[in-house]
Amino acid sequence: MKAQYFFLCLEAAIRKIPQNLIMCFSTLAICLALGMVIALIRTYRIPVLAPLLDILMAVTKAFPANLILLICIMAYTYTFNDIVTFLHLNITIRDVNLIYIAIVGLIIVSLPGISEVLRGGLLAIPKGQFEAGYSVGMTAFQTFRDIILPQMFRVIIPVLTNSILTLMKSTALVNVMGVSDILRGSIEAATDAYCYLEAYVAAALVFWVLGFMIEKIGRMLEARFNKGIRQIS
Amino acid sequence: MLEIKNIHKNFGSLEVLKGASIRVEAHQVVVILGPSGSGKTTLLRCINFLEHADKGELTVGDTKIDFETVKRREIREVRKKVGFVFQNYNLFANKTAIQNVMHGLIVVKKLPKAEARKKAEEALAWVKLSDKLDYYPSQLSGGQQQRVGIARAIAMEPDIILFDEPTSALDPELIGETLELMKNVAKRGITMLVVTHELSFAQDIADKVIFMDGGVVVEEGTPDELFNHTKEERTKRFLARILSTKTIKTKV
Repeated sequence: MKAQYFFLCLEAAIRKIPQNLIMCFSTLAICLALGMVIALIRTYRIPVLAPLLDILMAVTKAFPANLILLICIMAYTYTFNDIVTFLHLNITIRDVNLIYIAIVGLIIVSLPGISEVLRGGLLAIPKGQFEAGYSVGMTAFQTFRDIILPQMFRVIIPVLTNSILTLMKSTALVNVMGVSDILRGSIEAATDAYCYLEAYVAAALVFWVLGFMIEKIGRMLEARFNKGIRQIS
Repeated sequence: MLEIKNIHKNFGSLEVLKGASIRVEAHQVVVILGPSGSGKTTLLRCINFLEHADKGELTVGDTKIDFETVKRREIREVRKKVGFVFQNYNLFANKTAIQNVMHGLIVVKKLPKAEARKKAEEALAWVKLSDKLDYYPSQLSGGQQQRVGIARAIAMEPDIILFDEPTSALDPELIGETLELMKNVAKRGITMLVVTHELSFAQDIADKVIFMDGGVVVEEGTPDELFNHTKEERTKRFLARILSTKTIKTKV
């Protein structure tokens, strides 16, 4: 390990942090929205959709993450020309930032887990909380928005923090698609000097700091949401 | 004021309500008694559609509803007119006492926040909880939670408040304060329909007592008629059983 190379790679890795953050948190936002819909459909057993999603989630869960990403990028390159012709767009495959495809892939990777976490949160809320809302004349939507959702988040924050951590780590896999990220940035910096060990350790260090921050923020939110609620009971 | 005609409700193959009919006049306090499994709680829950009855007719004020063809809009209309006090309080766990009372006023009644707060403060003062406005339900005792529950129901100014065994989950020494509060609710002239096992409450406060068993109304009348001049054999047996357990309790 040479310090000089290590810092070279570290700098290259740090430069790519925004790339991973964008992938991680846009995936998270979309997964939370979609996952909530899926959790509601599965919990309230909406006909046709519920069993369909059960199967879909079970199947998706079984695939390794890098395999999903590879299939996504391949499916994308194979069908790109057809899609462009169909939409009458005048662009080539080089005009599209691959990060979008990476995000689609990461959504497929993370969605089953996150929707399961949300479903667990939903099931943890006693039925009486819904009934309380209905009894004062609130609609199902109002009750869900004001009463159920805030309580759900309190319940799921510890598990969700873990999911976000896993998601953050998955963003390092996108280099199989040729999308640049912390790991890839670091490796690219290493090619000239052939200092791969330094590059990997530098990337690991960056991921550790990110993970540490996610963990910390999770703890802070936990403390905030629990304020008052668990003081005595 | 409130009338249910010929209500039927099944849970799967279990027939819980088999054509019960009840009537509550404005400003009346009506108590429903009955052994567990008699369908009294289900009947109460069917009124504001926490359960959906299979058949029958419901009239609340000037709203008339057929249980079989009820529409979502009608359900909301009824729920606005009917308050509900739960056996296990069911306060919003993520909201403080005052927020519990305010929330419906803001979201359902669309009151401005300041006005809602003022009303909520009044309601909580009335249940003697002015010092607990910013406490979360988990920081309150069962009796205090139930008082918030009653304040929440009253603040919405419903035409009638339904009480579903409001003292059953309480420690014996807290039952008294809750019953006392319910007596005050009755004194305010609020129409009440109460499911309870507290015979003393029925005796002292009720205008009418209904005895239910097996999903139907077996007997109804004034407390005096029902307790002192009981007609039906089933009612007599039930009252005897409750009174005997009461005496055992006091002996202990």
